[in-house]
Amino acid sequence: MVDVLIAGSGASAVSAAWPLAEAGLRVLMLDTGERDTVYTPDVPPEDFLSLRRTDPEQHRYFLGGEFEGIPFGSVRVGAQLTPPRQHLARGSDALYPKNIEDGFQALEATSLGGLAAAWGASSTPFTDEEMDGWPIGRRELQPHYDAVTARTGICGTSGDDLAGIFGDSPGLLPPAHQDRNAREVHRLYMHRRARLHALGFLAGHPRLAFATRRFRGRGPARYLDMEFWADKDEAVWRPVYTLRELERFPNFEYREATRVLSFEESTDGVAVHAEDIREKRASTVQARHLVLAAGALGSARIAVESLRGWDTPLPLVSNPYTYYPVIVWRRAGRAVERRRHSLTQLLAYFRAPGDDEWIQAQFYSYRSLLTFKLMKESPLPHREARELLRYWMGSFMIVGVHHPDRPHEGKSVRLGPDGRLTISYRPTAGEERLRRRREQDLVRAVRLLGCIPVKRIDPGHGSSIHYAGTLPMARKPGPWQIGTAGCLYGCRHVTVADGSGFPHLPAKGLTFTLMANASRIGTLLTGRLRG
Amino acid sequence: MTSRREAEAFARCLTGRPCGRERAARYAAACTRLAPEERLTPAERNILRTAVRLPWLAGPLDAACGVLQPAHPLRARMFIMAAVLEASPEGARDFLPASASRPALMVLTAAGLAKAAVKLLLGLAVFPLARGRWLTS
Ligand SMILES: Cc1cc2nc3c(=O)[nH]c(=O)nc-3n(C[C@H](O)[C@H](O)[C@H](O)COP(=O)(O)OP(=O)(O)OC[C@H]3O[C@@H](n4cnc5c(N)ncnc54)[C@H](O)[C@@H]3O)c2cc1C
Repeated sequence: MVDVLIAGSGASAVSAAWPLAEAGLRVLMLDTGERDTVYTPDVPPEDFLSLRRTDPEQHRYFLGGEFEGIPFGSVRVGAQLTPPRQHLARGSDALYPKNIEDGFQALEATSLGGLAAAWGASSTPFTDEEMDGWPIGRRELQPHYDAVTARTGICGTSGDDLAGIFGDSPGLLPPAHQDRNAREVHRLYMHRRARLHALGFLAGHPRLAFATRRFRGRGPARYLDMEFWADKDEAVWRPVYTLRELERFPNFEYREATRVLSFEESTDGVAVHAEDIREKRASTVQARHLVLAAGALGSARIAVESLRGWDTPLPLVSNPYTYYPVIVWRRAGRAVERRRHSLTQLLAYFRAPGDDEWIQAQFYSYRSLLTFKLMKESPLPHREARELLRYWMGSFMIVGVHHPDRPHEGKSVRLGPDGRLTISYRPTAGEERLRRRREQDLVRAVRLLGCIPVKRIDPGHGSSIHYAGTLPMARKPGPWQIGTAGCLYGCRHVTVADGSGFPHLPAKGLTFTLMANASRIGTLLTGRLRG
Repeated sequence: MTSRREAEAFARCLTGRPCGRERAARYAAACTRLAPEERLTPAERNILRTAVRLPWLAGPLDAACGVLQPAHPLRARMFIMAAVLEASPEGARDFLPASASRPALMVLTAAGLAKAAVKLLLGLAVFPLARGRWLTS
C-alpha cells in the first residue's frame, strides 16, 4: 500500500506531489504519459532564423510527418500546438470521449506533464479581489506562490505598473528581454501613461515561468524563438522538470501508460482501479489517500464514475478568449531581431471606469509560427499576401484577450454511463454583450499604443484552454464540491488538487494559482497523513 | 495524384521560382492527405486544371477564389504549396520577414494591392469560363 496515489502528471500533480514526497511519504503517480519521441530529437538546438535558413530537414518538425502542422479551416483551439506539441492529446478522443454542444472545444491532455507540456508559461497570481467568493484567499496561497516560484523560476519585476495587479512577489528572476515591438509599445505606454491610466489600462513586464538565468539545472534562456516547437534550453518550465526532481526521492515513483478509472473507499484507505493503456490490463492499487490531479475535466470524470453520479450536471468555467492581430505602426518595415522569445512580450490589464472586473491582454510577436499560416487569414491572392506579409510581419503582434468567467446553468459537463462527457457552454446574452463592450474599450486603448488592429478572431468557446470549476471549493461543501483542504464531499481519502476546485476564473492564466493551490493541498495532506 | 506540373505552376505563381523535385514530391504527399483529388467536384477540378494548364491564370483564379470561395481547393492547394515552400532553407528568402524604408513599404504595399486588384478583376472574368471547362477542353 502506498501513502498517496496521484492521478496525473501535470502542473497540479507535480505541485501537490512535492510536499508529500519531500516529507518522506510513499507517493505513486499514475499517468497516461504520452511523450513526443518523433519530432523533438529532430529539432536542432539553434535559433529560429538559423534553422529556417540552414536546416534541410526543417519540414519534418515545421509541417510534421503527416502534415499535421498545416492547419485548415478557421483558427481553433490549440492553434499554437505545433507538430512537436501535438502528442499532448494523442489518443485523447478514444480515452476521453466527448459530446460537444455549443461548439466548446476541449483539449484533454494525455501527455506526460499534461497541458503545461505546451503551455505559454504566463504565471500570474490572483488577488483577493479576484478570488472574491472563494473560501480561501491570497493569505492562504501566498506561501505556496512563493514555494512554486522557488521551484519553477518565475521571471518578472515588482517595479512596474502591474505590481498592484500581482501583489507581493518575492524571489522573481530578472524579467525576460522584450523584443523591439514590445519595447516600442512599452515606450509609447510610458509616454501616454496618464491617458491610458484614465482609461483603465495598465501594462508592464509579463510574469513568465521562464529561466532568464540558470535555475535548478535549467536555462538560462537562449532566446531561440523556438518555444512553440522545442525546449532545447529548458528555459520554459514544464512539469517534467519538477517530475525529474521528484524522481530523485526514493519514496516517489512515476508510472506511465496507466489510466485511473475509478476509486472505492474503505475505512483505512482507497482502492484505485486503473488500466494499462498499452496492454489493456486492469489493475488495482491500494493507497491511504488518492489525490485527483487529472485536470478539471479528467478529475470530474474519475469522481463521477466512482461515485456513480452519471448524468449529474457539474459546473464548468473557461476564460473566453479572443485574438487581435495588430500592426505596431512605428515598427512597420523595420528589421526583426534574431534573438527573442515567442512567449508574452508585454502584459496589460484593462478595466474601464465603473467596471468591476479586469480583462487581460497579452502581446506576442508573430514569427516562429510561420508566415504561411497568416496567408490563410487574408483574402488576397497567395503571392501578394506573401509579399506584403514579409514586409509587414516584423511589426505584427497578436494581442490575446482573456475575459473572466463565472458559472451558471448554461455551462456544464455531464458524464454519461457510457463514459462520454457532454460539455455544454452557453454564455448568456449579457455575458456576450459585456465581452464585446470590454473588447471595444480595450481596442481604443490598444490604438493609443500605436497598434492598429487588423482583425478580430474568436477561436470559439474553450479556446483559452483554461478549464476549471467542475468540483468547486466551498467552506461547507455539498455534493460534487470539495472542502478548502480539497477533500471531495462524501469521501475521507480522496482529495482534488487541480483547477476543478476553482469556483470562478478571473481574466488571468490560472496555472500559477493552480500550482500554488495544489502545493497548499499537498502540504495540508502531508500534515494529515503524518498525524 | 497531383502532377509535378501542378507543383511547378503553383510554386512559380507563389514565388516566381520552380520548387524542384523534392518539394514537388512533398507537395503531392501533402495534397493526398489534406486536399485529395477524389473530393473535387467537376467544377473544382476544372478550375485547378485551368490554373495548371494556363499558369498565367493561376494567380487571377486564386484571387477570384479568395473572394468567391475562400475554401476552394485551388486556395487549399496554394496554401499547401506555400507551407511546403516556406519550410525549407530555399524558402527563407521568400518568407522570412524583410525590412524596407517607410516610403518603400508604402510603394510596395500600394503595388501589391494594385496587382491583387488586377488579378481579382481578371480572375472574376475568367472564373465562370474556367469552371465550365471552356478554357481547358
Ligand atoms: C498551448 C497552451 C498554452 C497555455 N498557456 C498558458 C499560460 O500561458 N498560462 C496559464 O496559466 N495557462 C496556460 N495554459 C493552460 C495550462 O497549461 C493548464 O491550465 C494547466 O497545464 C493545467 O494543469 P493540470 O495539471 O491541472 O491539468 P492537465 O495539464 O490537464 O494535466 C492532467 C494530467 O492528468 C493526466 N490524466 C488525465 N486523466 C487521467 C486519468 N484518468 N488517469 C491518469 N492520468 C490522467 C494527463 O495525462 C495529464 O498528465 C495553456 C495551455 C495550452 C495547451
